[in-house]
Amino acid sequence: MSDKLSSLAEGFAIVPADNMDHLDRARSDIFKLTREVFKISEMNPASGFNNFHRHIESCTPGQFNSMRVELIKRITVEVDVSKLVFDAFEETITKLLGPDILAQRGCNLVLQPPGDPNPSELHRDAPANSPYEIVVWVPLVDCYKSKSMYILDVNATNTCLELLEKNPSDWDAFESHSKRLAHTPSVPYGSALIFFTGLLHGSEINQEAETRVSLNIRYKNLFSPSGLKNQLQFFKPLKISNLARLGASLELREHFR
Amino acid sequence: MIDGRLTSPQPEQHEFLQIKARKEGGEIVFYGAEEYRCFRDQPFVLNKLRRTPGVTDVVFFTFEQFCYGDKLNLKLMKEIILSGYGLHFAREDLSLNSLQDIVDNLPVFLAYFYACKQKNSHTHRELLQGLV
Repeated sequence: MSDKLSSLAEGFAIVPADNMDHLDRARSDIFKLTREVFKISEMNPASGFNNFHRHIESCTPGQFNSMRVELIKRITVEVDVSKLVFDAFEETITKLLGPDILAQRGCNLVLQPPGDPNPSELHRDAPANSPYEIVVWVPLVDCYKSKSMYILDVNATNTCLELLEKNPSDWDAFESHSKRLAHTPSVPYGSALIFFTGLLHGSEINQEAETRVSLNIRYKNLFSPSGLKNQLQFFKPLKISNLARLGASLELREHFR
Repeated sequence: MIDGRLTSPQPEQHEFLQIKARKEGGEIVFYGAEEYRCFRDQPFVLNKLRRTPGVTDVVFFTFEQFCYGDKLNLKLMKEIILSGYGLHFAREDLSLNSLQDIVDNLPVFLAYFYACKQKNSHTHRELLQGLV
């Protein structure tokens, strides 16, 4: 793992998968369900996802949204996405969070066809999420320019938040200043953008000729403060260390007799 | 068992309880809530279960109902299980059917209890309340 990531000095880093097999498995399982829900005949996940917009040309926005919701429901039930992504980036995530790790239960899949007028608006996840979480943003296709997302580093985020604090009603000034300071990283399939939940980020209308398909999954240490999220509801345990089990058994013996 | 401390309205809690009961292959036969002076220890629920024939399990709206005291209310969890009832939490979609289930999940339960009790959580709430 690079020093840049291990220190998270800028609050984000792009890292290659430690194990591509798990990422390939996640992508092919998700693509299989996407083919079923959207009736896509294309067999190749990369070109199928990149050309996804061609298969929904006859859909109304309402129909597209219904199918997207159905797809996300099926993925949540049928594919253990957070485990597969964790397995793909295990070394990196474990170094950042330690041995006791919770993963988001649900799956956030983003399908952003070219010209889709509903990109993700400028925001940060914490607060109300825990500032001790990380977001693992995993493109299932090569993402670049407006097909990618934008993100502000720690210093730029703080600068923009100060501006907003001084002018809380001037969203336009805040947004345009934030976008001027933002990075738009190119993230190829096989890598992930990992970032601190306190960073401002969002996406633009996809002006490229291909659809963006990406996952975003949150991970946190079992014992870190939870923010306002109910961590039993939002997260599931992925890895519990022997030390945590020994500690819990001691508490059981000493405090709960 | 609904949670009278939450802003989540009772019909919403009933809906979640029904969904969890059906998922576990059961149905709801009665609802209950603790007197507000008893939220911390919930002394009502076990007595109610014991005097109601035909009940096999109890579904709480949230695990949070076991976190209102100074300590995680493991005592009540243990008593419910040892009395032969299955114990379920609707919002978290969790089920405990044996003491071993409690032991297996204990690190996660304790971490939840401590994470939620930490001042950080309250700071967030105050921060957000201050903004609206």
